[in-house]
Amino acid sequence: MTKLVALLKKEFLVVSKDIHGLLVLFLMPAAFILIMSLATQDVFGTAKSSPIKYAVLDQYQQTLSIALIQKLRDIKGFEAVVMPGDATVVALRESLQRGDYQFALHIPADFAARLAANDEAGKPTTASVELFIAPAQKPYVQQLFSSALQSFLSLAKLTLALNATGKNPLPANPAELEALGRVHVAESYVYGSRSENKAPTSVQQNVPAWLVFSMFFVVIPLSTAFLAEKQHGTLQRLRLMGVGTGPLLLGKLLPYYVINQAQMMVMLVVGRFAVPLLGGDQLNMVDSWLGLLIISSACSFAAIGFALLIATLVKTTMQATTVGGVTNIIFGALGGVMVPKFVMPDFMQRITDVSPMAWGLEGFLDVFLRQGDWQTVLPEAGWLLLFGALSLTAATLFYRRLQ
Amino acid sequence: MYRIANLSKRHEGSRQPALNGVDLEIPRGSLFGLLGPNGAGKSTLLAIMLGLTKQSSGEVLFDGANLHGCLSRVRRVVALVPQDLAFYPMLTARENLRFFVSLLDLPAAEQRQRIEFSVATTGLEHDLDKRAQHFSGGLQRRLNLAIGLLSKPEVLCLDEPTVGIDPHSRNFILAAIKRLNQQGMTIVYTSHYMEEVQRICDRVAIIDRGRIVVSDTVDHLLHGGVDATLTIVLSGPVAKVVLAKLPPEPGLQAIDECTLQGMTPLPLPLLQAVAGAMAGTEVTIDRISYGRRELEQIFIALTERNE
Repeated sequence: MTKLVALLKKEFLVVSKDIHGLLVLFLMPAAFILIMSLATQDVFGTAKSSPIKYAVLDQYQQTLSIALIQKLRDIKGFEAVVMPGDATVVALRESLQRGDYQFALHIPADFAARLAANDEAGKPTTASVELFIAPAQKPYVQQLFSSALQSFLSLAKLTLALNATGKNPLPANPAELEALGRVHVAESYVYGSRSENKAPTSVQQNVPAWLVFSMFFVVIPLSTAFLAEKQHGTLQRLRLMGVGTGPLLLGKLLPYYVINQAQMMVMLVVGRFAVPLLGGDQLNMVDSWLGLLIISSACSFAAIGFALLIATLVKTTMQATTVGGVTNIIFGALGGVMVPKFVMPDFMQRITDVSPMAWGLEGFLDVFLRQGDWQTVLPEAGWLLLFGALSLTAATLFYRRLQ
Repeated sequence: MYRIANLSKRHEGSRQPALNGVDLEIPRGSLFGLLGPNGAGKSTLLAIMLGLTKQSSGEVLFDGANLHGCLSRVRRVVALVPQDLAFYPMLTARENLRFFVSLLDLPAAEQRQRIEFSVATTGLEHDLDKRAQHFSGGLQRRLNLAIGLLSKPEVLCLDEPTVGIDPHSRNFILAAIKRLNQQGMTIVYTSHYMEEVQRICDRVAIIDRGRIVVSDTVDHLLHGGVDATLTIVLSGPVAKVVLAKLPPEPGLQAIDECTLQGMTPLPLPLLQAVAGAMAGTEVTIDRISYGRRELEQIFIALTERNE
């Protein structure tokens, strides 16, 4: 018993002396709860909801389409943003590609003619409106929107049917109802310049998020290895042998860049071959391999720069593993890896814009889900390269100061 | 080779200077022992000599030139074998040696020769392809030394190179260092093992609280002057009682309950005084020794602190 008490006292004493470790242990859950609660507050409906915005392009611009848009505005949880009448379908699709919206509804100029082509029994002969869906959005959100839209259209059909029997208790504009009852929505996912009816698979949705997350996790092996070199005097020995700060830090870049790229290849192979073997969907390869190379290189540079910054700042292995791990989780939570960005409240979405993981994720979504070309990823790649360069510069300054 | 004059260094945020007016000369070709208690300033002095940090004031001359004016030459001809095992444990000895030699910008043939020289000097021939992490403590120390030799330095600074190893490995390393010195390499050797310094060094400096308290040849320090050590071991724990009965400042001190010790050129009067002080007690003298001092005794006497 005495030994146990002594051991307990010793352990409390040891733990209490590691202020940094303790701080991380307490700050991590606090920060995580704060970020995740704010990020998901709309999903769980505990606060005033920020509606998910979707674009509407009305090229018909007559009473009927205006009435349709008016009805659409009644769908709770979603907000219609009507685009200028002279906007094009291409611009509409691009707004989805950029991630501005999760859905876009196109009411064509020949809306009335298309409605007329559909029969009253609800058997569509042609799509009267098109619903474009961003492949990066989550299926449950898409289903929610589609269901709301379909139920509203079904109600119109029902009202129309009741009108026909003369037993409709609800006052309505018969002509309008008749028209809306004939609306048929064609849903398609926007993959680059083409549209497909097929929704992205779960493997297609998951690979980008976990790819960017795993890339940033080089912070743990890199910082602990760097720390070991620092603590064992190896860095001092290298310095005495004429190795400057620049070559030393750059010497870390290439190997970890190769590791990051290998991580990506492994994930692609798993998604392409291993997941189908276990009964899952197969990962579709990207349209633009150059785009993938650009965004994965930029993401890797940012991750390694950040890892080197952490490596030069921390003093113990415990600090390296906890600080590295915690910052990654926070980056992930902020960056939309754990909670999709578009379900976050507006102010959280703005914060998300400054998380390097968000840039990486958007870039990978561009190539894996939106099937964008190499130019599509350039903005995100630019931000990541800037972040990596700033981190590397700071790491250099800290390392020189350390010496 | 090194001439250090009035060297001082105060670390940022520290109230006490790490070095305070150090004057020292390390001749070319010497095997120079640098001794001092923990925190005495040895590492700071080494770091300044290697150009790793700058002094606050004072001057360091290397072959007559200001050290910071010829830093690139210093980096070429001075090597450090740090106390820590400064290599990559996951790599084999051969991989470590190849990596470190490749930093020296030498032709491939010269690189091979350097590795052969280092391996032959440290006796690592049979262990080159083992991972360093699987080495015994002695082999790890030898690899640490081998890496330091790759640059074939003119000056080799060794910071406690035999810490925590068995006597065989220690003897091997000491013999290797001695050989290197005989081949003309200047060695600066820091250690807490006094017998090592006494055994291999020809010159020694003792540093304490940032000051050089003695700098001399080992020979002169051990045999020079007239002082020798008198040790009186009593049969009972009355050393302090006996000491109290002696005249003020007797030249002896109680180093434990039974032992009196002091340095004196004239042991007989002291012995008589001790015998007189013991009169009337049942304690007798068990053993008396008088003679040449050990370096450790000198070190303790010069760096003794009232803490």
